[in-house]
Amino acid sequence: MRCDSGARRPAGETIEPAASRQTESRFAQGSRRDFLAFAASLALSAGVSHVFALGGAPTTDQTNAELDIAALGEWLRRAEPGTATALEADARKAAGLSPYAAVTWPIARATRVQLTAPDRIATEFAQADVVFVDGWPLARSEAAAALLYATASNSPQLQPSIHGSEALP
Amino acid sequence: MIVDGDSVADNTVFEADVCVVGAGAAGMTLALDLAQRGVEVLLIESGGLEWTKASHELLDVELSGHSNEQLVNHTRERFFGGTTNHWGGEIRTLSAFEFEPHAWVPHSGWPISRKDLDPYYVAAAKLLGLPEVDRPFDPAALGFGESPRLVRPMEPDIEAQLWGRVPPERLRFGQSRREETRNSATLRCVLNTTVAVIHPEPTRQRIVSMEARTFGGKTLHFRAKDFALCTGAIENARLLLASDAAVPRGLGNEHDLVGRYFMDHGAIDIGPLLITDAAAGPFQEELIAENNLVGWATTPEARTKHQLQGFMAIQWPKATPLRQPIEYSQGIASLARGETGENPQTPPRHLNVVINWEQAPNPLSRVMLSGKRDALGVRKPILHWDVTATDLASARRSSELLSLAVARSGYARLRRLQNTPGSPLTKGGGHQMGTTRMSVDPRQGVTDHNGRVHSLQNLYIGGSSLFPTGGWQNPTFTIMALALRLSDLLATRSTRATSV
Repeated sequence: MRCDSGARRPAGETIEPAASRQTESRFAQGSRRDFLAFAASLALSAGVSHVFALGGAPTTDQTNAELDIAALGEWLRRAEPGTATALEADARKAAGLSPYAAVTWPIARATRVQLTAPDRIATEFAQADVVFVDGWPLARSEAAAALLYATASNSPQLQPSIHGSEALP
Repeated sequence: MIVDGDSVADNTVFEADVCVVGAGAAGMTLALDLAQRGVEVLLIESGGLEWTKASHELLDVELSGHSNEQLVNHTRERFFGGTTNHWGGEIRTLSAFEFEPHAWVPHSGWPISRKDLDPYYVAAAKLLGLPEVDRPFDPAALGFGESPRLVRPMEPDIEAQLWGRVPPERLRFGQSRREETRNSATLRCVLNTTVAVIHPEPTRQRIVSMEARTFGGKTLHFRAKDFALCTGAIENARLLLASDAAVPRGLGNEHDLVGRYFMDHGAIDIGPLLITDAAAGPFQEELIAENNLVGWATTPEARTKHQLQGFMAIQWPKATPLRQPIEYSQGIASLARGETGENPQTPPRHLNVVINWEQAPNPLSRVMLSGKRDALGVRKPILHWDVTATDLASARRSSELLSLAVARSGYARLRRLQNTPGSPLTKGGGHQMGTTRMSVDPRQGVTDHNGRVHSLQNLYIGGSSLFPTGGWQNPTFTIMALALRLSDLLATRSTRATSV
């Protein structure tokens, strides 16, 4: 599948979320966690993260690299909500999660390892099975993993899952 | 010999075998080569030996369409040496593929082939002190050992390309060829003298003289057997169009083609090449030290398959700030590297990548004349640079192929060209081309396969205004090769005329 994130937009319209430039300056000197909290609040206001409705706060035990990936996923979700929904469905399927199950960080991490196996990524790039996020190419599974991280970063990290149906690996 | 136009008497008449207008890459190459063969040559240059505001302002253009000041006013020079005075010195030949017509690019193709230019590329390389015309991309021969991952060929859509670079001492013709010009026994270079009108004979089949003006208010006249305009794509068209006293619509413009098919390379800094594998080097800094530039271009196969115009990209070592939040690119790098830690590996390294994309020949993209006049009374040109949606789509698709090829290599990620409001997608590359294009058919081009204006027996054109199709390659080397080819022709004509 090729997701051309600009193709369905009117000519000349950026695919970058309107808040991005503002975000750039606002958080240029700030922490990544500040940035992610801002991104999460945008997602909440847009109603894209059902888990926030359950209450709770994002955990703070993620690494910088993980938060960077989560921010990337959040970006994709806002820029291409339709594509993001499909990709996250893939990721959830890979993780054995139902569409509405909360995503914990351990689940997201384990699923990322599975989704971004080098052979898998190489195959997807070879087949041009990619998503362009603001022009940057991501293999489809990379994008799915990033979306799962974004969801995890917005999810209350309950142990075990609030639905009780998906045990942690 | 070098003289200043204001140092001679008003209404002086200069005479020679060949009169060349413009002392830039084309004109100086042509004039000096002819002079070395013993042909009496006049070389008329609008500026002096150094840059002046007065001569530069004669380049002023009224802008329309996608044209911008960067495109026209900051990419040309109007003094001895012409635009070589700020030339970057990147050397590439046009490949055989670029000379061929491409069914998916209307009006494409040259009336000559690469083979016609081969000996002149060799001669041009010799003039520039280059050991080879086209140095093949051979990492081992270049001293890089095993093929470096960063620059390796990336078949099937993208291939690595190597640019030669002109040695600094040969780069600025105004410096490097000044003494040769001054000491020539058969070349007279007249500075600070601007050709304003070209006069045909009453039959309108030949040029009789050129009328030039100086800043000091003098009028000078130049007579020759043959004339060659080498003033650049905008000025060549301007001069032909402005010489409309005897020929309505201007010289050579019987089919309303003079000034049309103006092309430039779209050029843009596409953004950072995000290095995700520290073992990907060497990087361009090292390559530049070897007096080469390495980059990529779309392959002929990819262009045929995807129906694309030419496209190339060069890594540029100049570091610039990222245009997007750092979290963004670091997320990509972390994914690509499989990073999970609190302290990421070395922060991703960035190299700038600059792209050039070829514009398809387009009759609506053109140079016209304004009603306004410059300081010497010559009507100013209007440039309407028309970039089409097809041009932009081709550039975008090409950059996507490059972006995918880089990602497939596993060492880096590169952003695709975006269609973002306000982005300088149409920033010009300073490679003005077209406007007096070659064609065997007078209804398709202003000049024939030798660069002679179809309707005039002794008026020739030099420079990139001859290009019917631009290609992705830097044009100066081809400009020089064409000038040397024209020199062969004019030297032969001069010899015949003398013997008769």
